[in-house]
Amino acid sequence: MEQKVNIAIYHPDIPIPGDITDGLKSIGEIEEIPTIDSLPAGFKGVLLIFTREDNLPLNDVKRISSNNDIEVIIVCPGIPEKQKLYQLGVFAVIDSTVPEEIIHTAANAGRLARSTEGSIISKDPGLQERCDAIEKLLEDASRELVEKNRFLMGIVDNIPVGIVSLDPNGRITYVSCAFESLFSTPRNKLLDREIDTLSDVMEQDISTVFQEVLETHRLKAETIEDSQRRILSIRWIPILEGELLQNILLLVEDTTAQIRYKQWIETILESLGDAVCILDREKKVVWANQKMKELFGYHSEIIGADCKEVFKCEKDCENCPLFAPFIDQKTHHGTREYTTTEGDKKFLDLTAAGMKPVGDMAQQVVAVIKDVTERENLYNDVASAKENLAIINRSLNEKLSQMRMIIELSDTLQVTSDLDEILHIILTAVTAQQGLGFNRAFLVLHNPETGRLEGRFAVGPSDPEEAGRIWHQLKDDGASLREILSLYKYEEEKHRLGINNTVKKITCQLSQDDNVLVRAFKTRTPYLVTDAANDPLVPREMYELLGADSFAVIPLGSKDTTYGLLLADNIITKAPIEQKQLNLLKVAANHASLAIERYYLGEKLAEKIKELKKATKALMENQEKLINAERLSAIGQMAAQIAHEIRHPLSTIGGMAQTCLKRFDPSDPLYERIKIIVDESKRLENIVNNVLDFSRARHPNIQETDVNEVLHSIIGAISMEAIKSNIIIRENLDETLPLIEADKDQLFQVFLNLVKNAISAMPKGGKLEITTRKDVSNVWVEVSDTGIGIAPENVDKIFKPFFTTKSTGIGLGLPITYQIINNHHGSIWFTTQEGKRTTFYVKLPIKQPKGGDNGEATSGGG
Amino acid sequence: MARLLLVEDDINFAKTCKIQLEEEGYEVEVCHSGEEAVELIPKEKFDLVILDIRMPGISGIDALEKIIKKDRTLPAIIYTAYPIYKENFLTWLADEYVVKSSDFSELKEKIHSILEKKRKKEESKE
Repeated sequence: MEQKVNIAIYHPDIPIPGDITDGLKSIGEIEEIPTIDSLPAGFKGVLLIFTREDNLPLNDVKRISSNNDIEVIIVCPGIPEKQKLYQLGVFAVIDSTVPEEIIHTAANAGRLARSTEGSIISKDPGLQERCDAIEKLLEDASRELVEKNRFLMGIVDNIPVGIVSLDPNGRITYVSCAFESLFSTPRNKLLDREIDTLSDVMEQDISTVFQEVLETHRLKAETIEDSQRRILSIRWIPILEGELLQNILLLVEDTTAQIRYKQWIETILESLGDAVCILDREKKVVWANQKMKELFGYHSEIIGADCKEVFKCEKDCENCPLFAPFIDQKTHHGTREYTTTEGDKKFLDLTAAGMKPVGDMAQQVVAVIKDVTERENLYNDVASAKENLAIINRSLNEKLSQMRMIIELSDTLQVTSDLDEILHIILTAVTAQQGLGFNRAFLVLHNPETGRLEGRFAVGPSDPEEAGRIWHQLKDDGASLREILSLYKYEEEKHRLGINNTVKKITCQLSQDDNVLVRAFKTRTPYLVTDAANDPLVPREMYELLGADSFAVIPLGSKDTTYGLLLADNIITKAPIEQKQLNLLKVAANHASLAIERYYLGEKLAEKIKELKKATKALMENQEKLINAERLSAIGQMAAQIAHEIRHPLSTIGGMAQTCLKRFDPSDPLYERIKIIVDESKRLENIVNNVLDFSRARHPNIQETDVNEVLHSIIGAISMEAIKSNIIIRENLDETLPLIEADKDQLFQVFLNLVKNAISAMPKGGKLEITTRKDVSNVWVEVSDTGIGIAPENVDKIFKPFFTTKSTGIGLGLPITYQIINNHHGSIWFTTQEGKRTTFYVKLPIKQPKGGDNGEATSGGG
Repeated sequence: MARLLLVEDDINFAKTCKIQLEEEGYEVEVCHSGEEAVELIPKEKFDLVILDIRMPGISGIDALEKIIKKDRTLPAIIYTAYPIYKENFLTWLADEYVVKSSDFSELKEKIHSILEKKRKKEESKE
């Protein structure tokens, strides 16, 4: 229950408004006292003094306030020295007559007065003395305060900001020095004036804003440009005491230079090629140049935008160079990737520095953002090009060494003629590390005698130990194929490499179509086995023999022959066989095939040469025979000629001797002598006849004769002459021609004669055609030439003796031919077209008539 | 008395032959070339002509061909040193072919038989 308060009211010169009295009555007992002294002794409660300033009973107030039972409230509108009164112990000084305020204050004072109720305060006799001392102290303090106030005012006056203080009624209570100079107006023209005066001086409507601040109690800032084109920054600061507005400060600053400077800086920043922005501690953009907006695609305002939003950044700010200057004040650099809304990737170079530090902390960060996308892309391009180059270089080196090996392989194969060595070289190249780099290589050849594929050679280590030993010796890059070859030979001799036992066991029938070797051989297609254990084409025993999971099979062969297969694997290193390696293997296989083919061709060639030599020898022999025959024929003809020439004188001698002999009687001594002449002439004649017998058509020596063979040997014999005369010989020999009964040597003479005549009929070259045919009982031979032909006047003469158109010869060739054919019961005739062609036809019976006269030419030489 | 024409270029042999045949009782005229014989035939009458083959100028065979054209009934003997053309003589329209020898008996026989045949032929005609 609220206790009633005793309230004494003293109001010597101001009437108390009725509503105040009513209000007070609601909180306590009211007693109006005419004078201070009429306050009842021992009064406990609140003394309210309503008075004007100039009528304040200061001494009474001082006295009563020292009484702990009484709280004094002074209500005095426009009261000046509140502080002094409070120093005197007054509970409250109220400078308005608002009833609620007064009643409220009185109620508070009442509570305070009651709180001391019952306490005993001894009335000290030295009180007055102490009070005086306190008053003295207070006065000193007051003086000090006034001085301090003046000092502070001096400072405030010197702040280069125009300051005006207004009370809530709009009265000007203070004007600073700077304000005076800012508007060239002395402060006495402003102090205690109404706000309108200020409006006039500043040429601005001040009162509207003042009213706003009065109502809102809020700070207010604005920038204006006055008639002198000054840019003035105006700030309104309400000074509050509790909830009460005490004063309003108006701060006016000429920021023209600053703003111009700022604009100048901004112009510079705008003209920079780089984006520039300023961030505050909230990481919001407080300023940005146009470039910044362009870079980040801001068509609208960027200011106020969040840094992360601008950069589309999702990273932690801790490590961001834009954030770091807030912490350490230093300048930071960094790069950021940024993807534009169009999806283009950009590289940004960031430089950030702290600004406006407070203590150690920067309040803002200025960031310069350079778009280095092109540079970065270029750098990346160069880096990747460099990397590519390195890769290409590496692969080129690899290729180079492989090429070198292939060339060396090719060179070595060129000078090698031994097949075994050729095969050895190929296998070595396949396994050389600078070459194809396979661990092992096997050669499987087709054996035509057994019809099997059989392992023949192998190169490579059979176990890691061998591999280590051999490869160690080959580790120098410079090892040439020759060196490798000799090393393998040495190793083979010294260590009996186990691989050669392995290769001998590789064998399979060509009928095994499900064997990868047979398949590769037959289809002439390379195979790459990658999982030998489970490959249906690799038989179990082959897998166990080779022991490799992966191996390549390449056929070796020429256009139409397959010789065998090349097998290669990486059993030691277990390296997978790459396509690249497989291609190189094919190249090596091609070389191998060529070398093998070259070897076989060489063998074939040697055989052919042998045959050719034999044929040449036979030809030479034939030719010799012909020459002999011709020589004999010439001798014969000469002998005949001589014999003929001798015969005339011989006959003359003999004839004359006989005539003489008749005149003598045998008893006459001359008879005997002449008889001797006759007899010796006869003897000589017989010798001549014998010689003639030899040269003319002899009695034929009939035997089974192959006419084709006779013709063939003649063609063989005269071919050289024909070639020299530019004559083409065509043989149309009927291979089914039967053997005939004839004198082979005479037939040879007949046809040789016809052929030679044909050749001499074609001095400018032509075609000689020899044809054989048959009928039931005869064999026909035609000898045809494209020569000069036989002149019509000579047609009847050519078989007559001693007719010849040749400058050499005696004209006995065709008559003898005629004679021989006649002797064989055959016939000879011819057709001719002068200047075009002549064909001789010879018909010979297959069987000679039995018991008949076989054409015995002579009927004795008699 | 039969009259014979001997065509023979070898003078000595012709003389020997003439003597041998005259001894047999024939009248023998000698020409030394085919051309001469061809000239002589229409002018003089002969019972038989004996021709050598190989002679300067036309051969005996060619001469015979011409002679036959002038006197188709005149018998002819080819008288040569070459035995090898014996089979051909009929084609040359000769009656006989005799190889020369120091023994003239074959010639004499052949002359005799031709003349005998000729005489019988003429007798049967008459």
